[in-house]
Amino acid sequence: MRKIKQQSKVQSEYKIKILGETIVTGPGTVPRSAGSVAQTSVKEMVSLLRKVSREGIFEPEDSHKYGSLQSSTK
Amino acid sequence: MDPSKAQQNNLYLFIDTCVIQAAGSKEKLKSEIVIGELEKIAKDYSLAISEFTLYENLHGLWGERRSEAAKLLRIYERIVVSDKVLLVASLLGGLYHDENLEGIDAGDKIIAATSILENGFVLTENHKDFPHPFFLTERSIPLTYLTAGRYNKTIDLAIYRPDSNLIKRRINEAENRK
Repeated sequence: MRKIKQQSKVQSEYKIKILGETIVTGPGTVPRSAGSVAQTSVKEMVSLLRKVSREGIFEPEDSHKYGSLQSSTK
Repeated sequence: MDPSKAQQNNLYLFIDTCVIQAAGSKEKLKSEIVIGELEKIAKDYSLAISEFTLYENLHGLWGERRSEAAKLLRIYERIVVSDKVLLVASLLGGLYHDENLEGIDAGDKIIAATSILENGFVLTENHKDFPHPFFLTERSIPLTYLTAGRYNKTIDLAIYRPDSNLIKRRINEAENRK
């Protein structure tokens, strides 16, 4: 479950007005994606990052050809 | 602001694409040191990614690589690129321009806008994408590892937080311009 606690409202909310609409910012202002997990699993993240690293998923040989990842995010 | 761990725990830390890629690097020692840091950080913050980060990480991948990358990205809590996010991102373009901050791409403005709306944090290696005075350094995280060529290299991560008061004031002033 997402770690939203009531106390976070104390110093994390403020209002901004955009195109006449007042938006109260703070935790929960932007919805979670449909199909998203409720909370990141650190254990799974670590395990999958290690697998991705081992298999070189983010660094394909032909990455330069397609302008992928490494070049698109630097 | 120096929020206590309990307060930080209520707030998102958005992981930038470059950090996921550094953690998934083929260089084992680099990957391990970044993964280790993510584990530590997860004790203090709720880790999440923007939907845009999903796009950036999958960009240019095909077949099995794409499936494996998607499997990884689906374990993160993902936050939508909503109309509010896009409204704030579009305003950031103008605010950055006023400060002569150029060359920051739309994706970084989307992640910045998401953190502003959530009053969350951003973990990145690309410092120029979350610029002062709109973003302040919460914590610098230099991670030194041994490369394959046997020399030390440091990856400088940082946690940034939006300066809420400044952003609120600048947005409200921008919206009142004739």
